[in-house]
Amino acid sequence: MRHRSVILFGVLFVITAALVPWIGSEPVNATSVIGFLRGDGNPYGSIFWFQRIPRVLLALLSGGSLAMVGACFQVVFRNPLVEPYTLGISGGSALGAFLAISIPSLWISWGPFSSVQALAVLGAAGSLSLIYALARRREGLSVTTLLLAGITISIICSGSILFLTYLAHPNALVIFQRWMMGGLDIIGYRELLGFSPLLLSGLSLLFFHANDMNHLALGDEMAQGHGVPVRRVQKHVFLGGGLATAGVVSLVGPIGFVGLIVPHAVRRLVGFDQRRVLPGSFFLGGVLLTLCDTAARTLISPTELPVGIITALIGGPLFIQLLLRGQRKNR
Amino acid sequence: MILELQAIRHRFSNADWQLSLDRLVLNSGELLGIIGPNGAGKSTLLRIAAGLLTPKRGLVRLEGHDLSRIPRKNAARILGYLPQDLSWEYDLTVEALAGMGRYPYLNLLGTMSLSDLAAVQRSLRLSGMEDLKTRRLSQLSGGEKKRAFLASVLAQAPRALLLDEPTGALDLHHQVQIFSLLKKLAHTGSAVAVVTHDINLASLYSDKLLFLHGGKCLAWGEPRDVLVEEILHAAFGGVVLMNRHPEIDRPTLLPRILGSNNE
Repeated sequence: MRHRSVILFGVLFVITAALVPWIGSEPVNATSVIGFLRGDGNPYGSIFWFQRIPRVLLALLSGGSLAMVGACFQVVFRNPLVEPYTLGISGGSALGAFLAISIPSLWISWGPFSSVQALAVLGAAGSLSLIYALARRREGLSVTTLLLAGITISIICSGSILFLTYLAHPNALVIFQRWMMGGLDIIGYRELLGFSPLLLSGLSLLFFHANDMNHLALGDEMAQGHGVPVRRVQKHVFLGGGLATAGVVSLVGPIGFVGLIVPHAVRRLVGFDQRRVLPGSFFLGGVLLTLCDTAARTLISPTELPVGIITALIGGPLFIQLLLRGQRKNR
Repeated sequence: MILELQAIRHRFSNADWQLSLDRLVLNSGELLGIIGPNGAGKSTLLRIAAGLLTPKRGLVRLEGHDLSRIPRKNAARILGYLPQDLSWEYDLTVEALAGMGRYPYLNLLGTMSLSDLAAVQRSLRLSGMEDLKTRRLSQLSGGEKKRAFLASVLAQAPRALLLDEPTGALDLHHQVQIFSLLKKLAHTGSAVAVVTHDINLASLYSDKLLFLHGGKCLAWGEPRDVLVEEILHAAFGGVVLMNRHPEIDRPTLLPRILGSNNE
C-alpha cells in the first residue's frame, strides 16, 4: 500500500511531464511538433520544443527538489515548519540577484548562468557558508543556532535589500520585484543544464542518507548507538539541501510552500520512512509546481502570473487545513 | 576484555568538577553496575565508554582498538548503547524499531536479508517483546517501551552492552525483569555495564560495582566489598542504613528516617 503510493506519485510525475507541454495559449498539435523535428521550422513546434519542454522540465525538477529538501530539513532539524528557504538561502540569493539587477556594471557570467543567476548562486553559497560557520560546534552542528542564524541572515539580507532599494533605479526595482515573485519563464536548455550539476549532486547526497535520517527520529544518542554517524549526516544534509536549493532559487526565485506542504502530505500517505518520503516528495513536488505553473501561464492568458503567487495562494490555505486536521487528530 | 578505559579525564566547560578515572575494564560474561549519587558522572562515563563523548584526555579501547578511530558503524556491531532518554518522532511498531538496530549490518538503502530478520526476531524474543511486536510505541507501557528500545540495541548483536538507567521510572516488577534479563545476557557471554540509581538492584544482580562520587572512583569490586559503611557514608552522608538480603549474601540499603523524634 505504502510502496504503491510512491509508485503512484511516480506515474503522476510521468503523466504530468507527458501532458502538460501540450497545454497553453498557443495551439500546439502533433503535426506541428513532429513537423518541427523534421525541420519545417513550424513556429508552434518551436514553442513546444524550446519553451514548453524546458519549462516543464524546470518546474518538475525545481518543485521536486524543493519538496525533497524540505522533507530532509524537517527531519534533520526536527522542526515540521522548516522549508528549504528557512536557512536564509533565499535571503542571500535575493541579495545577490538584487545586486546583479541594480548594478549593471557588476557583470559576472558563470557558464550558462546570467549575471543575475550567478550572483544569486553566490549569495546563496555565501549565506550557506556563513550559517554553517556559525552553527559549527566541536560535537557537530547546533540545530538551534542553524535555525536562528538562518532567520537572522534572512533579516539582514532583506534589510540590505531595502537599503539598496533607495539607491536603485526604478526600472531595476520592477525587475527585482518580478524575480522575488518566482517564475519559470526565462529558461532554455542551457540554463537547465547549467543548474543540473548543483541539483543532482545535492539531491543524490540527500537520497544516500535517507535511511540514516530515519534513525534521527530516535534522537541523536540512540541513532549514534545504532551506528549512524549523526554529525556527518547532519552536515551532508545541510550541504546537499543547500546546494540543491541554491540551484533552484537562482533560476526560479523564491517559490514558497512547495517545500513545506508537500512533505507533510506525502508522509500522511506513505508513512515516516524517508526512503519512501524522499522519492514521493520529489514526484509530488514536481507535479504540484508544474500544475501551479500551468495555471500561472494559462489562467489569465496571454498574460502570465508569477508561479510564486499561485503556490502561496493555493499552498497557504492547504497548509492551514493540514494544521487543523492534525490538531483534530491529536485531540 | 572487550572494553577498556584508560586514564580518562573529562571536564565540561561550565562544570566545577571533572571526571577522572584511571582504569576501567569490562569483561565478557560480566555485569558491571555503575552507581553513585546524582551528578557523580555516571552517565558521562557511560557516554565516553560508548564513544558518544570524546574525553579531554584518555583512551577508550574496544577489543584493543582505539574507539575514536573505529567508524561508528563498525563499532555498533560490537557495542550497544541504550540512552537514558528515549524519544521517537514517529509511532513505530516494536518490530520496526527492533529492525532499526540492524543498521550496522545493512547497505546504504537499509534492505534486510533473511539473517537480519532472524536477528530481529531473536532480539524480540530475548527482550520478551515477541508477543507485542505488532504494537505501536504509543500503545506500550513505560517498561515495555524500554524493552522495545532494548530490543533494537540487542538486534545489533553487540558483545558489549552499555545501558543508562534502563529501569528509571519503572515499577518494581519491570525493574526486576530488566535486571534479570541483563544478568542472563551477561551469563551468555556479553559484557554488560549498567548505570543505575537503584543500588539494591545493582548489588543483587551485578558481578562488579563501580561506585562514582564527584567524578572519581570511590570503590570498585564485588558488591560486598564496595557497599561498606565508610564508602556509603562518604557518598550519601548519614542517610542510609546497611542491610543484608534475606535470600542472598549481598548488601542492601535502607533509607534512614530523618527529623523524627524516635531516637
